[in-house]
Amino acid sequence: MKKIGGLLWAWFDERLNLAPLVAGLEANLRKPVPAHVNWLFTLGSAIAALIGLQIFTGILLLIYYRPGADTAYQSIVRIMDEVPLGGFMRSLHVWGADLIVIFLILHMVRVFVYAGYKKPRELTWIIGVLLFAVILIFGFTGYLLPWDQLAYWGTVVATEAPASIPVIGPITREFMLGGSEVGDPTLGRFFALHVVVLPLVLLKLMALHLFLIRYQGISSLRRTDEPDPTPNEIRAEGGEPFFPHHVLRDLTTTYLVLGLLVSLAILYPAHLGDPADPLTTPLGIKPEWYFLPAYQLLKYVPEVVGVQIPPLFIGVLVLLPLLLDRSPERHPKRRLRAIGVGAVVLGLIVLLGLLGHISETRQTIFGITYHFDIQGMPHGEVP
Amino acid sequence: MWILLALLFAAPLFAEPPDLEEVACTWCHYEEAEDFAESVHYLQGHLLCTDCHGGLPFAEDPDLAKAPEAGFIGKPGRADVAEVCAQCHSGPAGFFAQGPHHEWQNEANPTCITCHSNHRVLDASLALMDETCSQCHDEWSAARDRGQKIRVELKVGAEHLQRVAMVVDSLAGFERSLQKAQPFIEDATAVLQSADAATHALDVQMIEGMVAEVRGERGIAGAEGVVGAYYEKLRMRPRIVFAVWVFVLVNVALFWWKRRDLP
Amino acid sequence: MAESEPLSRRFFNALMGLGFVGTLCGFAGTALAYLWPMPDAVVTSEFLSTTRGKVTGAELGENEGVVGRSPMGKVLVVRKDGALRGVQATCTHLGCTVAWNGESGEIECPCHGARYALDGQVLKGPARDPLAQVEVREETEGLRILGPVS
Repeated sequence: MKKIGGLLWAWFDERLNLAPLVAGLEANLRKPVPAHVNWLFTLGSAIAALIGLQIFTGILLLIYYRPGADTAYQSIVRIMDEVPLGGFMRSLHVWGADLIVIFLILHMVRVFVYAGYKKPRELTWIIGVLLFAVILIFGFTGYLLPWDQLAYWGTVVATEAPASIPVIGPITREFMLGGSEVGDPTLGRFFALHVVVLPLVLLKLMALHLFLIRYQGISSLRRTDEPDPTPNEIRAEGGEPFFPHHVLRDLTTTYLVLGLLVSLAILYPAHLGDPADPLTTPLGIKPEWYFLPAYQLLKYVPEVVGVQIPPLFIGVLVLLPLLLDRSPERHPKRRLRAIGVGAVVLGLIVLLGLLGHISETRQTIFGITYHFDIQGMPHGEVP
Repeated sequence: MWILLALLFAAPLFAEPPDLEEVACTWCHYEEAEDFAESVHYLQGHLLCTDCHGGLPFAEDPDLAKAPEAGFIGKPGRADVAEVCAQCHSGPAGFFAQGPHHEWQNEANPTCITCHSNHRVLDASLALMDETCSQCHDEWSAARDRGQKIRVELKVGAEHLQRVAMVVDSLAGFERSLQKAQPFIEDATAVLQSADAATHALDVQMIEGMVAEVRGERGIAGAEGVVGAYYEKLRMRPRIVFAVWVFVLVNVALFWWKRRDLP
Repeated sequence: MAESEPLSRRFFNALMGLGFVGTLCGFAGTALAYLWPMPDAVVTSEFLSTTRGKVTGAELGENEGVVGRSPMGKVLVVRKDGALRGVQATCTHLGCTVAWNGESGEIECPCHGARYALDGQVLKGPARDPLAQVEVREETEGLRILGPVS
């Protein structure tokens, strides 16, 4: 075995001069990570592993899925009923999407708290925000593909808002839908986005993101106007090598997260509702959970205003290191105001999401039944 | 219950039955009309006197109403009762002709109306057997015994099928594979419905055979097989998850050991 | 102690490697099961059938041929001098589907120009082996493919 390895190495080395490349790579991998790097810093690699799994299950599903308003649903039925492990692969894909968004939010919070977005790592952060937007669009486009009632009407609800943008609103919506309402053209363009365009964009952004992280290293907790610590200084402070020490932590988290994903996919398999019926809107249609904050917000403010807030939010995130938080402090203890503001914003978003979830439902709390109206306000029900 | 469904299948359920007071027959035959007004033939079947007795229901002139040219047959004799009923209920009538009561000339034998009544025909059910067999047969007689066997056999079969159908219904909502059980339930239901007609032959072995078919591989047993396969799948899931976690934790333990072992 | 330490370390390293391999096998195995070819969706009956259904004798005039599916695979049936003649429709050269040419009275393969007679014998290459003859019986329901001519 080793001889074959040696022969292969020699063949490539003669042509590409591998030695300096490998030496450079190894040096980079052996660089120490700052001492404060803990388990929270393994979330990024867990996300990468989940994305890899989405590509794996996505390709498998792609082999049997047939896009088109009259074929999509049946092809999914076939995947679930006839293809061996088809239901399992689909469940992995559906749960994988949810887990990616959850871990992505946790990862962004971690980066925010540890000020990883500050100089000189603004570019890494901006690419990260773009990755976040790409993941959300992945979820949005993928949701429609099964073409069941939930998929169809969830998309109708979600695409209804852009029409209220002044001047360009209606044409924007028609462009998104490929027509005046959600239909076969919508499925076609969402499919193309989900399967080709977004993966290309995602992989390129991920490559850049990962390269920058390895190239610039994990940020220290010193002020941005102080020089970054040298590797020896990091080692002196107790920082351990990236490879293999931190990589082993990454692997641990990744295995645990994948174990969680497989468990969820087996114990709570993905369901398929009734086929999409453009003439019958079922009760209680809501978008997927990670769009609930935006959806709920639209109920409190005029649509024209509300529809601009999510893009503005992305814009705020992009501008965060450039304009909004230019303080040189990185250590969380010395950034309590920034963290406080972040916590409040996150709390509001979560609250909006919860209100979105509970609105238009009936819940019984401590024996009393409440009906939550469209704005999430409870009303006691007369028994 | 199945007999009820069989009787109702032709009835337009949401329309109102025609007003009996407008039917000329009822002006003289008011006692029979009162009985008929409570029957399923009238209330659900929307039938009139003339549908069995022939004639014209709304002709005020009795000669016109009871004209033989209009198909009037009057009160059918013993020989003709089965023929009248068989116009719609050919199945039960056919089986009745195979049974122990088929000799209509023998006055000791019942005709259709002996058990089912002529005008006040109500939903036929297995309970009817209890009420009517005793009119002629002693409690511990072989005839009563036979009727009891048939009744119990059908009742148990119907209840079993109903239980299984309920289970399949409740699960099929969220578990796609259970739709495969539907054809079995449908087949079993069809056999059981035909058993209702076959009851009239009063043949215990025939009924036992039919109920065995209801219970068999193409009926209840088939459906139970599908449900069983689903439950088995459900039982396997936690075991698979357990195995997955054993694998994950073994690997995690190895990573942990490796980390501690490093310089 | 020096002897046992490297041994146990090698053992645990090997075990960790096995763990990785196991994980990879898990992915590969489930993918393989998923991708395993499923039974064909095409259902064959003993009667010659096309995508439009069973072929009836009435549709086949004198000197006309039709290719359909059967339990023997694709079969070409030609009505010649009133009688039905059947041959396998898969060219023995590279597997293309042959067709009947009424004008020339020969079975022709469109891919590389092979020619066969109605009894399956090769008239012109590049095919070398003859087409198997198939017994066909005309019935009211359709053209029943009975099997190879014995």
